[in-house]
Amino acid sequence: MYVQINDFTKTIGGKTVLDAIRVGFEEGTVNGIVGPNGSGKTMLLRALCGFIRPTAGGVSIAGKPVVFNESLPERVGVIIEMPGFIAGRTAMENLEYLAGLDGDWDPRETLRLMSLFDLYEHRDKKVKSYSLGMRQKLAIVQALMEHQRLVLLDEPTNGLDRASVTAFLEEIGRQREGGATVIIASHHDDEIRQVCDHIYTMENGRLDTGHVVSPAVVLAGGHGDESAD
Amino acid sequence: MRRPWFDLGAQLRDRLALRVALGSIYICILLAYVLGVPDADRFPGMMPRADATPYTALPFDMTSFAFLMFGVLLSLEQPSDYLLADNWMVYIRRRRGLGRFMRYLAVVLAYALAFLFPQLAITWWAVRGSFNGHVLEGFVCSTGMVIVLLLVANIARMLDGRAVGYLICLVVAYGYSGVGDVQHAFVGHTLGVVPNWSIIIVVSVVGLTGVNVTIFNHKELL
Repeated sequence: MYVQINDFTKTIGGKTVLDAIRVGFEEGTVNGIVGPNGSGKTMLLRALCGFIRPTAGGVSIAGKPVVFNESLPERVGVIIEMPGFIAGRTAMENLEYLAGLDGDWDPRETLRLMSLFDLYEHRDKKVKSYSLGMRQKLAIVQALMEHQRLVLLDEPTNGLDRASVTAFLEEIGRQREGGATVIIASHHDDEIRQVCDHIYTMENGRLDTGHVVSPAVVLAGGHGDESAD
Repeated sequence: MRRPWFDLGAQLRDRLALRVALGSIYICILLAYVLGVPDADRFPGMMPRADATPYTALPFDMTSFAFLMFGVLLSLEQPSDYLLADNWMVYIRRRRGLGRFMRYLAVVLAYALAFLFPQLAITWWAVRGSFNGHVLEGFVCSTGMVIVLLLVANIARMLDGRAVGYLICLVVAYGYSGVGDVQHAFVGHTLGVVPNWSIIIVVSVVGLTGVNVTIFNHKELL
């Protein structure tokens, strides 16, 4: 498995927010994690990013362990909650700054993504003039602009209009064709079902891996359960 | 592109009203000192000499106490905000490390100096002819004390105990401004030449920095 989570448990203040999560994600697949607010979806993405220290268990990407606050084994694109862009800088300045942190920026790819999400004409405007939806689209651009091999997206369609959601889903399909592994956490399961290869449900810090849903079958109204093992 | 922490204008505009409100109170206290009978040998933030006549009936020196507390409060925790900003877009590309903590220390030092220099200028203006080495010594000591308190407040914030942090700052400021034994310990000299306050402050800053770094390195991005 490209991404492997091994019995990852996280306890905060006596409360178990991730409970022995054990799952693997294959390379070049799009995976959805659906569940209500507070079910642990965002925390799971933080675990994959190495932003939190496990109480037990661990995570590996491409066979290498993810260690808290140490460099990730692979280039990872991420959206977790509200993006913290520098409001007084333009969109392009923000993206250039972020790309400069790990020293590899592809301006052509960035501009392609900006065009795709109708941000091209606004690229030289300060982020403080952006609407919530535009900021979210800019966050998607920053998560994809460096040809990341693993893309982790938490509620990526929040604040997006219908056209942008369609553009986003098409782009995720394109990322899969390019070999990227995508994990999307969302409570808008009707949207992400259109693009996901597998959908897992999460509740109370537990990931239900016994009932992986095949999205196409679900949309057709059939019984789409298949074994995750 | 300039780094976010260089955006000084944005930092100063942020929470400006609160800063002005706090600053106004502090300016009144400072004016009471300057327009009274300022001690020509003393920087306002420095503790009073044991034999000095208090200019208020309070059991501590109002000027040095206010100096330390407002030195902490007027920062509005912005240095800590910088240190603890949980910007996942940045940290997914470059991990949070010692470099960020060193920049935090630079921000703290810059803030302390920005807080202190205007008061040094006011002191120079108030005591013009008799401005001397004791004033400069007090300036250095006061800078160190403000940094110590900011480091204490930051530790408390990282441990999710901001109120406790401010309470500790209050106790330290009171001890510095009103407890005779503490003041004697500060103004004495080691080996006859090295002022005790310099040793106390250096040891405190080094120790608190170590604690800060340790906690910072274990702080998760939740």
